[in-house]
Amino acid sequence: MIFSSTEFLVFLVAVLFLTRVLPGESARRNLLLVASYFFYGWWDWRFTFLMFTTATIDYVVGRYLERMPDSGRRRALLVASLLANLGILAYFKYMNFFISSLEPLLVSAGLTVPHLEVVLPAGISFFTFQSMSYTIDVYRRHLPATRSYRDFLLFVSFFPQLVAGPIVRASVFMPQLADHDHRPRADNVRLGLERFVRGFVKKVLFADTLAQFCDPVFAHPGAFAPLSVWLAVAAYTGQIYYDFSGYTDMATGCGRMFGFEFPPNFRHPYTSRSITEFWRRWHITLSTWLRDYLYIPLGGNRLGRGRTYLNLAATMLLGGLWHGANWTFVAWGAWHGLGLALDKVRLERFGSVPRTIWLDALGWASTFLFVMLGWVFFRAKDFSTAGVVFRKMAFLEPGGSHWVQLPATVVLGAAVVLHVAVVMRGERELLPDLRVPMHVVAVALAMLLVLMFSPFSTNPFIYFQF
Amino acid sequence: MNARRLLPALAVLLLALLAGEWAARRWLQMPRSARLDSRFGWVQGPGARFVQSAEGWGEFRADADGFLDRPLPPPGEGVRAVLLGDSFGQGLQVRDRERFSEVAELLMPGLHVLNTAAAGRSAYHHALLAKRLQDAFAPDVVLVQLDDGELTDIENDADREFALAEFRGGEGDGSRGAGAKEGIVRAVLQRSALLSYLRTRIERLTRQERQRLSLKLSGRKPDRRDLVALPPTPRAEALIDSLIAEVQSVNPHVVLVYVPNVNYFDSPPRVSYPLRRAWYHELAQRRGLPLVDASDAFLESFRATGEPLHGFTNAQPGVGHVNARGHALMANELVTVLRRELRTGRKGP
Repeated sequence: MIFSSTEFLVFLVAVLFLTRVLPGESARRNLLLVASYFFYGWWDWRFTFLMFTTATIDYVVGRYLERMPDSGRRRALLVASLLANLGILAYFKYMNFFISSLEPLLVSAGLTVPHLEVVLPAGISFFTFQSMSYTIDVYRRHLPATRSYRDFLLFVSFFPQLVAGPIVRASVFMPQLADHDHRPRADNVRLGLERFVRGFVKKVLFADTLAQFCDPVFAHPGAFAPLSVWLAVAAYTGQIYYDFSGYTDMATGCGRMFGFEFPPNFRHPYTSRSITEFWRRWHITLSTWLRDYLYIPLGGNRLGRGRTYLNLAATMLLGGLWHGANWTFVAWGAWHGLGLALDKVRLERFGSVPRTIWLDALGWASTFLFVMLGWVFFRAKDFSTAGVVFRKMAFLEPGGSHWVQLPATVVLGAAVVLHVAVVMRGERELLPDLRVPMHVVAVALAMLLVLMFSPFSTNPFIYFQF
Repeated sequence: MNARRLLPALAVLLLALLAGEWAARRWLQMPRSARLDSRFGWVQGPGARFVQSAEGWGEFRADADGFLDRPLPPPGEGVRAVLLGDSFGQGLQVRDRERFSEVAELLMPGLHVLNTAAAGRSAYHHALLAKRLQDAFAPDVVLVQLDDGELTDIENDADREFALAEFRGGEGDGSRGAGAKEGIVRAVLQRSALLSYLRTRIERLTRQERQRLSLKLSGRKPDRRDLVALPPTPRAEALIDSLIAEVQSVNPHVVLVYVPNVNYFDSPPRVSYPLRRAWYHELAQRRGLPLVDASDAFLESFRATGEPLHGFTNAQPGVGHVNARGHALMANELVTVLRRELRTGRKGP
């Protein structure tokens, strides 16, 4: 179910109503669990069994890990659980990628391996990572294993953040489940609704409008003039931010309606003045996950300079691959790994140079350009398309249609104004400064704008495919 | 909640709605003014301003009969033509005086075209309307605009019923405009451009969502076949042929105007539906009618400039309706054909 669809709005109202009228917290949690499985099964009911299996494995392993003394067997159990999780992920998400990548080798050896008819389950990377983090935390004894099977199933499947994050760790979710009553309260519903509407506007007004420009250009980049391609890449830079942060806002808003607080996933990433800062502001729950469960266990920056760069590269390459089963995503990860490495060198050499407004401006411009160029790998369907886009951007292939999509250009202009406003306001939220009636008017006008100008496309969120 | 907090909020809301109303009138859509005329079917109110913003942007004013064009001069002044067609002929996506019928008037002094085309019309409409237009305006030439989709739509029985209902006659004016006894709310609903625009958008969204949900709940896959790519059926061919014959029986000076379709992003770019295009050429030859076909000019222009002749800045390039460049090329072809016909004395006064 897509957050911006009619059926989700009906579903949300029904779940809010039922959790409000149901007596007892246990009944409410049961309802949230059933609703979450219904939400996921609406897309394809068969994959609810997959999610159930993943969660059950980690629940059982968690219980054993807690009871077992530290030993080789305990470690083996953790490895078995991780292999099970990653095996499921590898089969559904990466098997065809591996087959395609090894095809030339296999063919030369006289082998033919057919491609599998596998449908990628929505959000599999998110719920697998979420579930894995629980097992690792229990293994590290950072978290007690949960007793309640129902609560654990709810943690893995909770519908607001199920298919595209934020990646909520058990250490954040389980205490909230234990400590709070999840009967929707008026103040939570109001604040959650405001957040949800903000995300809705980001998705259907900003991201979907920008998509109308990017999609045709990335489908046939050779047919467009260099400046149109530049503008389309800028539009995609906006689209992916509004699409993903819109989803996060909607997820956070939904969670808030039921009394849950999710960790922030975005903090105005395009205001960053370095790649390191960008990754502290972009998809925060994934970057901290990769840091805590991959980069640091690999040794982080504790094993010397060379090893630090190696760990960084491995983390970013796997982070890229996490996004999708395509070498273009690996290239995107490598691009950012390179950016982080260069930034480390910069910090080592010039870290003590005092900041000036000119240095900040230079840092912002170079970071933004670097991130923007990286999105070409992320959006292009293959390297050949990315190559054409880069050649167009370098003005090596002049000619083509000078197409400028008007609504997308207006939205891009509005996005720039909003980002400048964020910088000027020092990242303070605007809505809390306004009184309640003005909140209502702001929400009403936002919905009016959506009704007037949204392209009414039925684009799923970009991150659903991950 | 006290008035000090409420009043500024209400003031902001009111100001925003007024700004929305102004913007809607200026750029998006005027309140609906279409009326069912007993002679000409659905037309606009006399003198009504019409704004189209769905693909490109166009602003037009209706003449006294409700057609979104300037009236024809009296008979005897130059070559007088009426244009029958659908949204491609009506051409509201481009600006006033950029439609091929108007550009042709500029290219060929003495030519006057009354554009009576309207979105959703089919060859059934053309056959029914031709006689009424002939009686009302006595044109020298009838331009009939046709496109590839027509050969599919013509087999849709609902289209025929729609046309028959529109021209049943004797029903008098079924105006959609405001009546004298309406209530204030109804009057506001009908006269507000903002509400009219929102209504159009909500209707579209509802239709889209109903379709999507019905597919989802029934488990059916959406039919993504391009029906227009199929060869025309004998029934469709016979229907179009007989309806054009009907128009010819009213006025023998008929010119067929074929709307090109091009796959710009194929390598190399090509005509989208060559079978249907060929059939229209065959029809024209069989009926002894001149055919305006700018397909080759479209391809040549695209190869030279890289700019598609379909699509707009607020939609997608290469798809949808013909843009101003395309209209100019169609006008060129039309004028070439009309001049040739006039030289040979086959058409006109």
